[in-house]
Amino acid sequence: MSDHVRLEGINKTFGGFKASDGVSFSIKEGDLAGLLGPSGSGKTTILRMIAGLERPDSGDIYIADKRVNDIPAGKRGIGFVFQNYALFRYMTVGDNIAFGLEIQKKSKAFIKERVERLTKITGLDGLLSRFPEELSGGQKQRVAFARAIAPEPRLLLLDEPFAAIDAKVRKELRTWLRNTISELGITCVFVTHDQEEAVEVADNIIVTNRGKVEQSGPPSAVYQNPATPFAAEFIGQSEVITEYERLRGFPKISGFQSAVIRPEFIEIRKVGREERPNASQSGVAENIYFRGDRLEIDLLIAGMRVTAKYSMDAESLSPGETVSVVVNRLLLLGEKTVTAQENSLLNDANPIYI
Amino acid sequence: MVDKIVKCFLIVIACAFALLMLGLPLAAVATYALREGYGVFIAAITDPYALSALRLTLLTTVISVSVNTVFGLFAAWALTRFSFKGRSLLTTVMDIPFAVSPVIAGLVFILVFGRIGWAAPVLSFLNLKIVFALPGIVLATIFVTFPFVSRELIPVLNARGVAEEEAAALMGASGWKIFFRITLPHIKWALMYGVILCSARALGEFGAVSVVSGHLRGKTNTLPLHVEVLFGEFHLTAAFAVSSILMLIAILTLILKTVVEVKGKKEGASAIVELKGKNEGANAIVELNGIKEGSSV
Ligand SMILES: Nc1ncnc2c1ncn2[C@@H]1O[C@H](COP(=O)(O)OP(=O)(O)O)[C@@H](O)[C@H]1O
Ligand SMILES: [Mg+2]
Repeated sequence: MSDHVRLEGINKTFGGFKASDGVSFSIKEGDLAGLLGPSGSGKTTILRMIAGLERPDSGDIYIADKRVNDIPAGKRGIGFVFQNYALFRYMTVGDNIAFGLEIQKKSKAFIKERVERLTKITGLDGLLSRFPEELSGGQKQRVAFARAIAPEPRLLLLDEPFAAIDAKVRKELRTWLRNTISELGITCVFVTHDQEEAVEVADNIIVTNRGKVEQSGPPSAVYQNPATPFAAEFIGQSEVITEYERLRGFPKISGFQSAVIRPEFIEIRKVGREERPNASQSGVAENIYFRGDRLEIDLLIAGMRVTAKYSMDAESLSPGETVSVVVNRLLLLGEKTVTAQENSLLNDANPIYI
Repeated sequence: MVDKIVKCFLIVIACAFALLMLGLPLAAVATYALREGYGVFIAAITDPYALSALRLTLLTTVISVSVNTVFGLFAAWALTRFSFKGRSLLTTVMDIPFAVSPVIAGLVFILVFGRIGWAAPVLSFLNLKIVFALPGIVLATIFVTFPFVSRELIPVLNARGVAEEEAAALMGASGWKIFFRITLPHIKWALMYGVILCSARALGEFGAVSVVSGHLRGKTNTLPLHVEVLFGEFHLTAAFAVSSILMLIAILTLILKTVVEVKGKKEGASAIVELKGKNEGANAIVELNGIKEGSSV
């Protein structure tokens, strides 16, 4: 399918501060794309420029292959869910949802029918005559969503849609939003600083940092093969270690000063239960935390402290116990590049393993 | 214990001061006005000059408050919704009437529009009379009461942010629609409050008006000026009787102001609590913790 949204070389400064620095990316029709980056990395600015609430200093924005730089926000036909929802607080939920349709001068009957249908989709039955301040965070979010999609936009933008909602409801809403959007078949861009959320919800993620796009692609690709040191550190439960050559099976490679390690790269076994002794080295399980479905371990290995996980089903460990550790993989960080490095001892002929 | 004594002491002082400086004069006005009986009181306030002064005062107030309401809205809107060069300068300039003595303001109008003023040739060509006539009085009053409306609106507009207006604009709403459907409901109490303060000031304005009015009895005397004239001619009872009209209007204004304040607070407070408690607080925390929030679980 063709690109629905395309940004080409967008620059935007706020009084000398570069909020967008040569931003280019595209989003396919019908895609659910996540703009992911730390606070202040310029995500909201990008979204606002797509919507027309902010003008880029230079660069072009295309929506459905039409350059929209000079088209005012109200004429771009975009739905927008604001970070704090920005519900019209002096209007009822029903009037909020109907507002866009009223502006389009739709007939009363049409509006009534559409509002009813949206209430059903969003599960807001019975709340139509309430005012925004009488709603919970999750309900507000749904109203904001219903209001944004009421005029049937082809493109929906959401700024941190789940940030103000508590963790439990957030998960539910995520799934619900995902499903609803795919049913509607509209293109959707959402902003988040929560990498877990981006990875779970989006078809494609665009990683931003300091006003620049670091990487874009499907979550699995960005997760497995981060393109920049920033992406490697930001995505996943990443920790940076400097003396990676002290880990067994990872000779120092020139040009790569440090490495990212993630819990899933580390395999812990009880001493004496090693499957691959030649790649193993000893470490200490300093602290052990219960995490519901698994244990999380503060592991001291070769003088470095990293986080590892341990299955609940395996033989139990006690804090301070010496364990046997194999590091399967690292992401080596260069100046501007990242390379995934497998443990060099694992591919060698290993009679026990093979 | 000591705290309690200090507290009582301060409260007593405050009350005594208020009574002495505010209560006593008001009571004095009322008693003096009625000193020679109702007959004299009624005669004083139904005197043709008094009535024409009342008419002029009300007319001036209506015009200047209307003008200042419209300009106050524009100014507050511009100052809170657009960022432009000289914005802070404009904010400062708008406060000039608070800083300048009204008498000086009046003199400025004489200098500009008076017989020796800069605009005199144009005015005489157009056969317009500004100084010593209604336009001058209205202009002076507008000047003095200029900041009241915008002053009330600016903080409310600032606190509210632009998100709702942006949301409406994104859906294609026109500027008028946005103003009447989104902005006005939010600022209506602040607006009313500003209008009331503006009216109170306009009704009682003395200094600036005194300079530009020319004190033509029955023509350019407003109520405060009329009081001064009566007082100067030793018609003390009449002066106090006319004063009592102004006082009555002032008390009505105060009551109205209190009602508006209470109503506005009720609506405003819940809005602020909502904004602070649920949205901003939660968000700020999430933003702070959130950079690697997902990974720390
Ligand atoms: N209207 C504005 N005026 C000045 N600075 C702004 C404005 N909007 C955003 N910025 C700045 O641009 C940077 C990026 O902001 P934003 O796009 O909101 O980041 P994010 O949404 O990723 O947290 C921030 O440092 C912010 O202070
Ligand atoms: Mg943001």
